[in-house]
Amino acid sequence: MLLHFVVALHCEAAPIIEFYKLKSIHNTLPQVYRNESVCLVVTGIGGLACASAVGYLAGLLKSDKCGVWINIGIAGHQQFSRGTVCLVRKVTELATGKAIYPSLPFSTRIPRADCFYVDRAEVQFNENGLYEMESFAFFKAAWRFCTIDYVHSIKVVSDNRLETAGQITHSIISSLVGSQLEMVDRNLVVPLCCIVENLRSETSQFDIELYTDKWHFSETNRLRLSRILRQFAALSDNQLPNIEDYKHCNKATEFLNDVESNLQCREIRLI
Amino acid sequence: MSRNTSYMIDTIFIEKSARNFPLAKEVLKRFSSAQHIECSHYGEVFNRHGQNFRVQKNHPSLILAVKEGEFVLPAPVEYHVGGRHNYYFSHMLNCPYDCRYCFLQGMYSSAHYVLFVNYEDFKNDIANITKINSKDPSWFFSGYDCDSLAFDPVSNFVNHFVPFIAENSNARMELRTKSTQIRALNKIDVTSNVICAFSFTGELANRSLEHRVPENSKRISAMAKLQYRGWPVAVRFDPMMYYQNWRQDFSQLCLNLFKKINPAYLHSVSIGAFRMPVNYFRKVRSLYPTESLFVAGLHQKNGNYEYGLNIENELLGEAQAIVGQFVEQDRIYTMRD
Ligand code: SF4
Repeated sequence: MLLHFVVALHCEAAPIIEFYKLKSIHNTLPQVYRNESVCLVVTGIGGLACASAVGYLAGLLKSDKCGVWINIGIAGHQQFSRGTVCLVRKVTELATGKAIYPSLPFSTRIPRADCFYVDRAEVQFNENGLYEMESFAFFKAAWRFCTIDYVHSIKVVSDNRLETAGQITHSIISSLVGSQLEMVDRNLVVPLCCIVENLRSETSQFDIELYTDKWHFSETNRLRLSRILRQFAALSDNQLPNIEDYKHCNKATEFLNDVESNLQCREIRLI
Repeated sequence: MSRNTSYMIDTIFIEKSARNFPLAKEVLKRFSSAQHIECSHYGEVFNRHGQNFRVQKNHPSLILAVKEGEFVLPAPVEYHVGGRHNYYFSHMLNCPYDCRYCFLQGMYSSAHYVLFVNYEDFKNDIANITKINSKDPSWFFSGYDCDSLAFDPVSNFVNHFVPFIAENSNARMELRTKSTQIRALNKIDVTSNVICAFSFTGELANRSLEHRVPENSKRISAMAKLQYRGWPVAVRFDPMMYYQNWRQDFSQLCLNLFKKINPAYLHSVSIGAFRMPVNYFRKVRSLYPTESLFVAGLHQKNGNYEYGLNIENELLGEAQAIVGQFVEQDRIYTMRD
C-alpha cells in the first residue's frame, strides 16, 4: 500500500474517501477504507485510539517501510482563522514538554506551523501553535512502520479564540477538510508518493522462481538472492545469471557464492 | 544532476543553546525567510533511526548546534602527510555534494547539515594541543565529516579559522575540499600554516559518481589561483576507484592538473584506494541497490569493504608511477594497509 490516511472522525474522513474513491472494508474496527494504492483508517478521538489504529492498519495491510502516512484533522489556534491549513513542523506534547520533528524532503507551499498535543479539548490556546489530540501519538506510531521522511500531519483550523469549537458541526468539518484536499494532494501527497515510487522501482523484485525452482533458498538466502540479482543486473545490462552457467552448484549457497565471486571479478563501466 | 551548489535552505533547526552565538545569528539572518524551528538538542533531529539519507540529500535542512564533549580528536592514519601529531575536528557534519562513495552516507542516519556554532571552543582545544606538543607542529585536519570549503559562504569557516591558525606558529591546518569556494581565501593574507588540499578523481568518476561536485577543470582553476597567490596547495587522490579505463582517465587528470599546478610548489600528494567500514558499506549499498560501484571487485577485509590485493596494488602502484612523472616521490604518500 502506497498511501495511508489516518483521521480521527468520520466527518474528517468523508471528503478524503470521496476524493480518492475509497471503498469500505467490511467487518473492521476501526473502520478502514481503501482502493488499490490508498487506504484510510478512522481512529476515533485521542492519542491512544490513533496509535492503536495505526498499528492495526499496518498489520491489516502488511504495510512496508516505503509507505506514505498522513494524518489529517482539525485543530484549534489562538488567531489563525477557520479553514487555515497547516503542515505540522514540530509537535510538542504539552504534558511532558517532549517534542518531535517531522522531516520534509522537499519544499512545499503549504504553510507550516508548530503544534501542541493535548489530551482534552483546549479553549485558551495560550501557546502560539495548533492544538489537537492525535498527532504526537500518530507520528510515534507511524514511525514504527515506515521511514520518518514519509510521515506527515496536516491540520485545518476549526476553532480559535473567537470562533469556538462548540459552534462547529460535522458538515462544517467535512467542508473545511474537503476544501483543502486538492491543495494538500498537489503539494504534499503527490511529491511524497513520487519519491517513494521512484525508490520502489529500484528495488522491484526480479522473477526469482527460475532459481527457487532449482535450489532451496532459506528466507535469509532469498533476501541475498534478490540483492545479488539486482547487482548482477546492474553490471550486466539488466541480464540475470544464466542458470546453465551454474548447473554444477548443488545448493543455493553454492550458487549465491559463485554469482557473488563472478561479480567481484567484474570491472565497472562508468559513463 | 545539477552541479550548482545551492544553499536553498528552507528549514533551519536551532538548538535553544545555539541561538545567541554570533554565527547562529548571522546564519538565521541570512536565511530569514526559512522556517526556524527550535529544538533542545540536534540529535533529536539528526540521530533518529528510520530516516532516509538518500531522500534527505535532495533537500537537506540545516541544524545549528553547540558542540559538546571532545572538539579535536586524533586523526586516522590515512590523513597523515608527514606530521608527527595529527588531529581532526568537525565544525560541520555532512556536505552539499553527493558523492556516491562517501562514507558519511553510511555513518549518519540523516543528510541534514549540522553546523556547530561554538567555534571558540574548537579554537581553545586547538590552542591547548599545540601547547602540549610544543616541540613539533601539530596538524589539524578539518574536512573529515564535511567538505572544508563547500559551505564556507554560510559557515564563514575560513575567516574564523585561517587567521587563528596563522597566528599559532606551531599549528598546521589542512582544508580538504572538492569545491571551488575560494573567495574568502582570496581576500585574506596567505599563510604557510594552512594547506589547501583538493581531492580529485578521474573525469569519468567525477561525472558519474560525484554528483553536484564542480567539474574537475573548474576546481583545477581554483587551485591554480590559490597557488598563484602563494597558498600551499596539495592534491588528494583518495579514494581511487577501479573501473574500466581508470588508468587513461587518471593519466589525463594528472596531465590536466599539472599543466596548471606547479608540482615544484606542491605540498604533498596522497593516494588511497576506495574502502569503507563494513556496516557503513551495507547501509550505503541498501540506499543505492542498483549502484554497480558497490559490487565489482570489492571484498570484506579487516572490517572494511575494500578492493582485493591485486586491484589495490594495481591502483596504488600505477597511480604512484603516473603521479611520479610529475611530482618528486618524497612528496607522494600512498595509503596501504
Ligand atoms: S565532497 Fe566529501 S564529504 Fe562531500 S559528499 Fe563528497 S566525499 Fe562526502
